[in-house]
Amino acid sequence: MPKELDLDKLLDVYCEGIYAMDPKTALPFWDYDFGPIYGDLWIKKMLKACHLAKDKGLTPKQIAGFFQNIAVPRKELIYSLVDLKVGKTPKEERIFFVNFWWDVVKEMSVEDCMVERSNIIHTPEQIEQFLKNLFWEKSDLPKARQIGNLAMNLNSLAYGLYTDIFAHNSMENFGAYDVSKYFGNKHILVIKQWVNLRPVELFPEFKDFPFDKLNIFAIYKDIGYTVDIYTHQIYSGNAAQNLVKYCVLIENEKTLNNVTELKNLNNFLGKLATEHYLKMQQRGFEEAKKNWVLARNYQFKDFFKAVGIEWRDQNILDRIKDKQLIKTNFWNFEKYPKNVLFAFWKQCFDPRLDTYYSQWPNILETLTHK
Amino acid sequence: MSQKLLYKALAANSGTVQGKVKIVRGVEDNAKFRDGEILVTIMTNPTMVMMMARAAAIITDTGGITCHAAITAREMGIPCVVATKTATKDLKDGQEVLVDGNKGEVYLIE
Repeated sequence: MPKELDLDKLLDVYCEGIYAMDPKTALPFWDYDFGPIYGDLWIKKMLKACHLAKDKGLTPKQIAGFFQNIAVPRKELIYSLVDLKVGKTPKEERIFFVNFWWDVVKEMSVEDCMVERSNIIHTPEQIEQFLKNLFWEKSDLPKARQIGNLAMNLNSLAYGLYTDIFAHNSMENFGAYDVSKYFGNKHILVIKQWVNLRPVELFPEFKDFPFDKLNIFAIYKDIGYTVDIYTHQIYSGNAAQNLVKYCVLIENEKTLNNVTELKNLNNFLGKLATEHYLKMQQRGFEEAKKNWVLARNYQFKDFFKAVGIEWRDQNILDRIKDKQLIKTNFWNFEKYPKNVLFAFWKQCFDPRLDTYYSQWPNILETLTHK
Repeated sequence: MSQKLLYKALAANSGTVQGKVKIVRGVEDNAKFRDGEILVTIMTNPTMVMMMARAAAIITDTGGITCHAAITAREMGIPCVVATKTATKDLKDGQEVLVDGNKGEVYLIE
């Protein structure tokens, strides 16, 4: 499959990803109502880091090594399309930035780099090794419920640690991998991963969290599975009833398949995810904004460190202080038809076009009356 | 018994189930939530995970096919209908409803 960057296709996939969401339900708030407040500072910092990386001769492969989840560089590539326009970044720099991150994404991805339908980072050889070497447990409904519950609890914990928008610094869905040749027709392997579960720089109280990484390897039969560019999963069919086998692996070492042990873990995680999120809610709006900025920067901690930039950013924290969210019609799915919004977003996001953020209201107005 | 169609909204996860409504406002409803009830809320968030783990289905006022409620319901394998707009205002605790996650429909059973 070609890995060249097709910007038109990327914009299509990005727009579909946005349209599948409901801005009213983003936790704690819609990213594009907040990001533009500090977008110019963010993109300046990121561009500086990218240039320093180039100057130091860091290869895409080396840069990829700073991230545990491909979703981090891939989503930054799309999120920053807005910041590039907020920051009035010149075209040459915009193209440099997009290509820089695309090269990293390409390095980490085996195929379907834009996640049009799947998130493929494992080779067929790696999949074969998983199937041969992991300790697989045959599923039934009570076990499948615990597996589903585990995914739900860890996803919810990731929301609390990194916000809805940057939860992918922990959670990611890989696959679907066709494993029919091993198990018979219509069998797929899906790998769910949670990493960075001990972010002590953000939450010191997580230093004793029992693990930093957990994977669920799940084999389903007769089920459709797609992932979007936001790494949201969509099953067609029942994930509990159609789970055939599974393996829960902690820190790439310890298998945890026993249903009683899974239940105990779920009791612990459910309570922790609830308490942690409640604590985050009770901190209020100013702290929510601060957590957001810290979470976004934290994803690039190792990358920033490699190029000599501090991941914490006081300039951005000062900028967002006492600022309200920006309310616009840019994301009003009820007011505008899909074709108008898609045309608008594509014009605004396209790094090849000088459509700066201050011009967006006029662009939307023009498209509405076309 | 009769069925009255209340909502034709977004089908976020497939499956059909009948059960009693429980309106959930937040974590404070945890102790009152019973196994197998239909969790009805404006939008789920991580403080509701312990109730979601015991719910037979989820209905929300808001959300898209990739919202927290939808993603969670798919992992749990329970029916989910989102974007009903007014379910938390219209429905009452204890009412019997049929949730059709295939079609995104909710029926009141009378």
